[in-house]
Amino acid sequence: MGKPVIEIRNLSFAYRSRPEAPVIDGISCSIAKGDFVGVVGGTGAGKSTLLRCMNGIIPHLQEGIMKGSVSVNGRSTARTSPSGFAGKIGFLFQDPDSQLFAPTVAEEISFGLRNMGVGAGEMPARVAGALRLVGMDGFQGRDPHELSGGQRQKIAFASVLAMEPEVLLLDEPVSALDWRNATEVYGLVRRLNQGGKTVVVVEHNTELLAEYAKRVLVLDGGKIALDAPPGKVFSDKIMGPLGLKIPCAVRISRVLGIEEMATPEKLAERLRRGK
Amino acid sequence: MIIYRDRKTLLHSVDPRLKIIWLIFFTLAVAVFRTPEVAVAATLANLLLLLLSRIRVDEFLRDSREILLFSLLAIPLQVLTNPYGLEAGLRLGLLNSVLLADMAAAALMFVSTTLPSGMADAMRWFRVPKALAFSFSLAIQFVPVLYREVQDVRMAQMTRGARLSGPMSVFPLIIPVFHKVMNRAWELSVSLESRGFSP
Repeated sequence: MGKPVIEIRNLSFAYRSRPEAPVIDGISCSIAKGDFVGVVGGTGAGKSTLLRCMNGIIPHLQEGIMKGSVSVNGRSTARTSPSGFAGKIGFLFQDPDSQLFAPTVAEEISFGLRNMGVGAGEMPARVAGALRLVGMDGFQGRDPHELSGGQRQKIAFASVLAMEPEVLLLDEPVSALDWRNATEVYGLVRRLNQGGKTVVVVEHNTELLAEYAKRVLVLDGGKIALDAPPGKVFSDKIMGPLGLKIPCAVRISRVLGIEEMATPEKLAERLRRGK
Repeated sequence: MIIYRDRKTLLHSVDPRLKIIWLIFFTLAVAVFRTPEVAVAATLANLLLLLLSRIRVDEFLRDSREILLFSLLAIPLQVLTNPYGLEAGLRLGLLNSVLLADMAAAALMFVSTTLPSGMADAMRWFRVPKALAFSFSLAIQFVPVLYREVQDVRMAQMTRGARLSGPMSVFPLIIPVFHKVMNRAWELSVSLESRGFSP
């Protein structure tokens, strides 16, 4: 296991309107450099809230009662604002419309770069590079608001990638994409992860996490119900009662009465070897 | 709708500081020397800039429709209040209306041909505080967002049977649009800070 990048110690968070019902309830975990962590859980399990604690949106920008601590590379999120983490942590919001504001794609992507002090000369290459990564070459002059939902999601992602952060916090990054585009984006995230970036992704699609994540955190009622590799998590009996979708490969394995495999590829390989 | 229109023209590439100086000079000249000659010169200058900007006339008229209609209010106002009679009121009203439209068109031309980031940078060069300059450029960029929100709420209500026509139709839209825009503004501010913006 690599050096811890994100350390969460006994974290609790409740919104001011409902202090008696914490959204995060005593979570402790550590995310190592180069990890690819998927976060799953039912509606209201605290997935997005947990992600927002990791770059300081909570407690700096979202009001509530926070207890415990979160640190990134040893820096406490309670003492560093999200803008202080911007070069290190890239945060992709679930709804791209809440992120996009500029009149052109190039302006949108260069916003973060300008804040980082990237010079005007370097800017076009960085913008083009980020667009190439998400497969949106040549969209620099387009109005982001006139693009499709999926394209807007990719532009929002490109604006994060352009800043070349060490840690990627992704809140349902492919919710507006079809399967082909979703797997393309996850393929890109995997390559970035293999290149050394740490990834934490909130995702409701368990098939994708089974395929791409190295580790899965299952949240339930603001607590970590399970923290294990996807193969182990998705074959655990806890998935059904929590209302989470069990990946097809696991379900087929159960019907066949063989060792449970999390991905179709692993299942096929197991079948080829015979029971 | 006030919106930046991306084109590759000389006018788009002019330094935003120069454009701000031009806009101030233009507005002052039109406001101080309120003569028919100035009105003609200002209109011609705007037409020339429109030509240089390669923004289509129909696009420009669509963007400026409300502002131009508002400037026409100067005519009945002068006709009703001018102490020298109808003809003098009509003449002055027409002149004021053209001058107002010229000022609005020049401002619109500035916004249509200047990237908001360039606008904010230019304002900072004029010693406007960073937070204020950015808020101004963001407010301009929020106009089309607001317009789209109004359209979304309007469509959502109409598809559920609401009859939204006439001037009173705006009232059912106010609260949901306000709520959506406030949420949007908050989420955007969180996103901006996450991308390193610090006032």
